[in-house]
Amino acid sequence: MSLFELDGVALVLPVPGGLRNILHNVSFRIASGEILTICGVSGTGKTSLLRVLAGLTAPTRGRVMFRGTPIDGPQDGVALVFQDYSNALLQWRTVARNVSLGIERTLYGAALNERIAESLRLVGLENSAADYPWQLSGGMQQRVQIARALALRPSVLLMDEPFAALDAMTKASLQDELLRVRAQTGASIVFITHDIEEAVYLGDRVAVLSGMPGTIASTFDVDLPRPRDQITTRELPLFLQLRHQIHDAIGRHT
Amino acid sequence: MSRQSLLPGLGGIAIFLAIWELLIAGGIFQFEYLPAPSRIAIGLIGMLRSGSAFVEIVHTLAATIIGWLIAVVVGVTAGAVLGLFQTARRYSLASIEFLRPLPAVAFIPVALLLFGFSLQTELFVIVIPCLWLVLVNTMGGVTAVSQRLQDVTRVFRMSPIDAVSKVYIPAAAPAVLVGCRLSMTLALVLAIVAEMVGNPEGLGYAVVREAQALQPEMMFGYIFITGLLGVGLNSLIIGLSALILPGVFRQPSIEWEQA
Amino acid sequence: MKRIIALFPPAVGLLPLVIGLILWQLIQSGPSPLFPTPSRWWTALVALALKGVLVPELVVTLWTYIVGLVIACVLGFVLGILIGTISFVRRWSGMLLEFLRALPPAVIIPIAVLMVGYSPSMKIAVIAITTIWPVLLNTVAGVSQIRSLTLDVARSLRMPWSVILVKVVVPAIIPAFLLGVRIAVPLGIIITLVIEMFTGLPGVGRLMILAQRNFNSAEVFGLLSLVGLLGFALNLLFTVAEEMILSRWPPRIAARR
Repeated sequence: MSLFELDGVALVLPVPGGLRNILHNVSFRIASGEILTICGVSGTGKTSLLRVLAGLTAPTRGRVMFRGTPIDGPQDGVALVFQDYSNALLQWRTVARNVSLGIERTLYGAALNERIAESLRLVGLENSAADYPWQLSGGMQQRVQIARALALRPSVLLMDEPFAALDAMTKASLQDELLRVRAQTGASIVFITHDIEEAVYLGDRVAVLSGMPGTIASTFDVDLPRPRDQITTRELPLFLQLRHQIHDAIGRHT
Repeated sequence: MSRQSLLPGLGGIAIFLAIWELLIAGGIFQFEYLPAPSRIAIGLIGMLRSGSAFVEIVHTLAATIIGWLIAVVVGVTAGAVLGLFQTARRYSLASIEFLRPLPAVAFIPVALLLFGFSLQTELFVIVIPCLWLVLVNTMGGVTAVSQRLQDVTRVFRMSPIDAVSKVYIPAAAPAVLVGCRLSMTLALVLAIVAEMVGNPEGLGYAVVREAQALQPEMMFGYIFITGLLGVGLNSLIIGLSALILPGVFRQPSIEWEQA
Repeated sequence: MKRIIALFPPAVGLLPLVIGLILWQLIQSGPSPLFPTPSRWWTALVALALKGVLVPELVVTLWTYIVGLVIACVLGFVLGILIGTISFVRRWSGMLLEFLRALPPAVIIPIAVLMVGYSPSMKIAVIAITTIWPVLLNTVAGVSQIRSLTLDVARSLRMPWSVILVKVVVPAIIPAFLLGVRIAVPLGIIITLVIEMFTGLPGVGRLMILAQRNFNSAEVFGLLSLVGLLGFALNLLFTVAEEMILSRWPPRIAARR
């Protein structure tokens, strides 16, 4: 059974001046344990699509199924990581207390502390537990958000252009960290990005969202070997070929 | 105020006082009712030694703080409710915005009518405008909680109580505290005005009394004490805010008054 | 125009006010000394107007307020730029200005009365002295917030200081200046009324105290409503003017409400 199944999803949202068709006839599946990257230029509704998957926005038409049942809101086991980390974190709580946000209702005492420590270890922030988010760099704040999501031990991570606001070097190191985390936890990942190279580097599959209203124009299987490497993987002929194909796919439908 | 502006700041005050002293004591300017700072200081010391100013200070302080507390409790509650519930806001915002620019002192004749010369008059004059200020700031703070944080409460499937107590209240806290701080300043201003025009007690009345008795040194002495009280109360609130929210990064030091 | 209309909250929000007044009118059946019905407020005001008292006093309040406010804005603007640009003046005067600002404005009134006596010029001077603070301090803050990058650009273009002042500094601080004026507008009307209440100089404030002393509660409430409308109208005028002036600035700066 697929983890996520979208069937003919369309989304119409009110905007100043009327209604806008954001998404049209979006259908695809996400298998358990895979990394699906969704790539597209700005304005194609990538964020809206993620919000539909997250259960934050109900589709105007079509069905969204999680583990075989239609969803009607945010689901247990689905964690969301936003692009604007400084707005998404609770700036008045320490890093540790931010990470505990999703689990403090269900875990207590030693078990809670252990889960927090484990999540921070996964992202390499064990030493920052007592800091406040505003004291940390952008990349570190984003890792806090990822740790907060991982603390839930989710079966799927939804990520909305999480590294777009970071510089190239931080981005590269966080990409590898994400892959490492996935290898350790086995979570599925849906990763939105406008960076084609990032999409190919991270994904098992790349879906191209294009057009207005947005629709899945094409999907590409990424048969690059794992573990991936920033230098060698990006020089492989298959990488360059995929990059070319996706670039064309995006260009053709815009 | 930063360290580096402390010394020049004090220097500026010293120069100001020195010039004032020279102009008056030196006979360059002769205002019958503008005494030199030295005379005012002597009067002040006398006042403080005899403890005569004590009663007035306590009265004004008590009226200010009690009025402020009432305004804060009611204002924060009402503002939070309005901030959280859009329907409530929809059906009351226009009224609130319409009444907001009503000059606070216009309530003095009403209060005098209802309560005569008494503490109730003073409190009435203090509470209503301060309440409005706190309410508007609280409501603004709650509604301004970013869309992103609202998403976070939904994505983590937080119960309404958790969402309000763990996210909305702390997120709105800086704005609420600004409202509380500004309303403390306003409370003092209104207390003084109420004492000048309405209730003959406290520092406001003392200033008027000394003026009418043609005692300018005492009058200026009381004015100075009033100013100190204003600075003191403001610092108190800033200190309390820092205690309540140790984890919040410092806001820029510019204070925008919104009275 | 659309931007101005967008500033207004939904009109249905006036319901509590309207319902409150209607209820007061209906519940208060007999004549009450302390809580007259809204209709009697109106009749009291009309009576006052017909006596030829209301309008002249209202006019006095308005013109003394406006003159005082204008003086405060002009002086505040000029002094604000001066203090803001000359950094050593700003640092040395900082604490003094903060103390003077923390002084409740009303205490200036007895000083002014003692020194200058009862006259319209005393009133205008007090209004100006008390309302200058928000304008002055916000202008100073506005100057200090001009990004040094902007000034560097101007200097790299070899513009003389007088030109930089006019073409760069002044336009850059207009939003901060207007923020100060926005605070000064209601503050000014409060001080004007306090002066009138305290000194008995002509104006609506004096009328209110007289009404209270005569235990004419209908007049008190009527004048309260009038003052409320006045405050609302002044606020509205200022908001409209501000919107028109700031229409050329990026919305981010204008939307700091």
